[in-house]
Amino acid sequence: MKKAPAAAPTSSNKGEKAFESGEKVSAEFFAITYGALVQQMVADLTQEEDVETINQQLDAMGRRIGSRLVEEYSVRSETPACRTFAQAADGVALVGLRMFLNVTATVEPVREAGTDTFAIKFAENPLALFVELPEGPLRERLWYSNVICGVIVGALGMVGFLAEATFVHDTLRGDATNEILLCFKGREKETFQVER
Amino acid sequence: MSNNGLVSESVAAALNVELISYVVGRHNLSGEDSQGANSDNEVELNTHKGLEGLGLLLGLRLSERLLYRQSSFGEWTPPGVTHFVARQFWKAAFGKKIDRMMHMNDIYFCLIDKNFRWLEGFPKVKGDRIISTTVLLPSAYSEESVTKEEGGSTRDERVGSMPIHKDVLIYTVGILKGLIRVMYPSGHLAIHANLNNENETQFVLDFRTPTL
Repeated sequence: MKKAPAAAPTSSNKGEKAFESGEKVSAEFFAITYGALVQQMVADLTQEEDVETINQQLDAMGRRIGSRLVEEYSVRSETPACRTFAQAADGVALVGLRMFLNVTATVEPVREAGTDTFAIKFAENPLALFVELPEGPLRERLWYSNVICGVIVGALGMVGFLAEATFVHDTLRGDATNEILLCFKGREKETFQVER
Repeated sequence: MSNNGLVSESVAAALNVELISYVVGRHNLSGEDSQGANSDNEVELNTHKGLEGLGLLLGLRLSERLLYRQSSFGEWTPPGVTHFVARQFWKAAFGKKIDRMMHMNDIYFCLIDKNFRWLEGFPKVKGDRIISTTVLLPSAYSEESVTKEEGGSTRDERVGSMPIHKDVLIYTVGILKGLIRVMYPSGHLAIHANLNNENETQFVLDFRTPTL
C-alpha cells in the first residue's frame, strides 16, 4: 500500500500535538478548583452588586498566569515567533487554547474599518463544567471565565503585543457559543537595542 | 472532536498557586483593615484556616467526581483509601502517580512526592530545616494542624502576601481531608505534610486511634 503523504503541519494540529505531549490532569479537578475560587470571590464581595470587581480580579489573575505559560508555549508548540498580530491571534486560538485547555476554537478577523480585531469562538469551556449562574447581577454582569482573557493578554504582552481581550458571548449567559474579541492595541517598544 | 476530560497540568498548577495567593492576600488585607484589632498570629491563623477550608471544599467536591466511577460500596479500608489517593487523586490533580509510599502496619502511611508540582518555583529548603503543617507541642492547647505559636513563626517568613511553602502544604492537606472524609467518614484520621531539604514532600495519613 502506498503511504499517503503526511499532511503539512497546521496550527490546529500543532496545538493538538503540544497538548498530547504535555502532562495532563483531570478537567473536572481544574473546573472544581476554578469554581471554588470564583465562589470565594463572590462571597468576598462587600457589595453584592459589585460584580465587575470579580471580572477585574479574574483578568489580573489570568495575566499573571499567561505571563508564566507563554514560555512553555514557545518551547513546546514549535511555532515560529509571530511577526503580525494576525499570526498571534491564530496562535492563541488554534494552538494556545488547544495546548492548555484542550479547547477547539476558531478565529476570524472582524471586518470593521480601522480595526485589527479577531473573534475567537469555542463551543466547549472546561472552566464552566458543573456551573450554573443564578438570575440577577451574576448572570448579567459576571464573565465567569474572564481569567482566559487575562491569560491571553498576559501571554501576548510577554511577546511584545499589547492587546485587549473581552468576552462578548458566553454559554453560561444563555448564548449559543463562547466568543472573545481580541483587539490589537500596539506593540511594546524594545527596551534595549543590539548595536551593530 | 472528542473531549477526553483532560487539561494541561501547567495551567491547573498555575491556577492552584493563584488560588493560594488570593486567599493569602485576602486575609492579609483584612488583617490590615482592622489595624490593632488582630494580632499577627491571628491573621496567620485565619490565613491557614482559609486555605484549609477552601481545600476542604475542593476535596469534598472532587470526591464526588472521582468516586463516581468507583465500583466499591460502603466504607473504605485505610490501605484502600491510601492507594486511591496515591494513584487516582494524584493522577487527577498532578498528572502522575505518587513517587513513593511507605507504611507501617496498614494504619500509618507516608506518601512521598519527590518534586511537588505546586511548590515548583518556591525557594529550596536549606540546612536541616523541615517545613511541616504540624508542630508537636507538649501544651494541652492545640488546634488541628495549626497552633498559635506556629502562626507566629510563619508570620516571620512572610513577605507581603506572597504564599510560602506552608500555605501550599496546608491547602493540599485540606484537599486530602475533604477527599478522604467521604471515603472514610467515621474512622479517625490525622493528615499532615512535611517538606524537607531534599525537596521531598511527604503527606502522612495517620489512621491510628489516638490513645488517651
